Amino acid sequence: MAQLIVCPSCGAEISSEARQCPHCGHPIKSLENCNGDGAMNRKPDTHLAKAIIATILCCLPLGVVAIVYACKVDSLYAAGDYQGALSASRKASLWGNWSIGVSVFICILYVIFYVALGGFAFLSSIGRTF
Amino acid sequence: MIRRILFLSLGVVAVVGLLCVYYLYDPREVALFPRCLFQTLTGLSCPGCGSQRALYSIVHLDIAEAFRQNAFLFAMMPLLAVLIVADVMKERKPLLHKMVFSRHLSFVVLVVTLLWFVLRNFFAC
Repeated sequence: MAQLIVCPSCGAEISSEARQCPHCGHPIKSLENCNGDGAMNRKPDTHLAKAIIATILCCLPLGVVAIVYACKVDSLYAAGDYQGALSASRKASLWGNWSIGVSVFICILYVIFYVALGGFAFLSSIGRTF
Repeated sequence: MIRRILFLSLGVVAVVGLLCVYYLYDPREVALFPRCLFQTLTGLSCPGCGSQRALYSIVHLDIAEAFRQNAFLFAMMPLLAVLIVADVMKERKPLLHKMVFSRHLSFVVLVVTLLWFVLRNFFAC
C-alpha cells in the first residue's frame, strides 16, 4: 500500500511507490528495501566469509557457487529487490554449508578408510611373521 | 555462556591439534591426508589445491614455499580475518560491517577466485 515518505533530497512528502520524487526528480530507487515503517532494511548477510572458507579449505569448487550468490545479494539489494536479496542470502549460506559439510564428510571417510587399511595391513603382517 | 566457552575451547583444541598434525607430517609424503576430489576426478587444480602443503610450509615458517603452493591463500587470509572480525562485531560496530561488506566486495572476490582458478591451470602453479 502506498504511504507518504519524505524525499531525501528536497524533503517534500511523496508517495512511497514513486520511482522518483515528483518535485525535484530525485530517484527513489531502493524503496523496496524499506520495511513497513518506511525505515531501511539492512542488507541481508552475504555469507562471504563462509564462501571463501569453503573455496580455500574444502577443495570443492562448490564454494564458487556460494560466492556467486553473495554477489547476487549485493546486486539485488542495490537494485532495491529486498526479497530477492534475502533469498539469495539464504542460498549463499546453504551452498557454503553444503560445500564445507561434504568436504568434511569426505575427509572423515578418507581417514577412516586409511586407518582401516593400515589396521588390515598391520594384522596381515603379524599373520605373516608368526 | 558455559556452552559458548565449551564450543570456543573445542574450536581452539581442534585448530591447535590440526596445526600439530601439519607440523609433524608432510602431506606430500603421508597418504593419510585427504586428496582433492576435484583434482582426482578432473586432473585440474581447484582454487584450494595446495592449501594443505601451504599450511605445512607455514607452520615450518617457510613462507616462500607456502606462497608457491597456493598464492591465493595469501590474498584471502587477511581478507578473511577482516570479514570474520566485522561479522562478529556486527551489533557493536554496524558502520564497520557496512563498510567492510561494501557493494562490490563479493564481485571482486568472485573475479579474483575465477581468475586464479583459470590461470593456475594454464600456468600450472
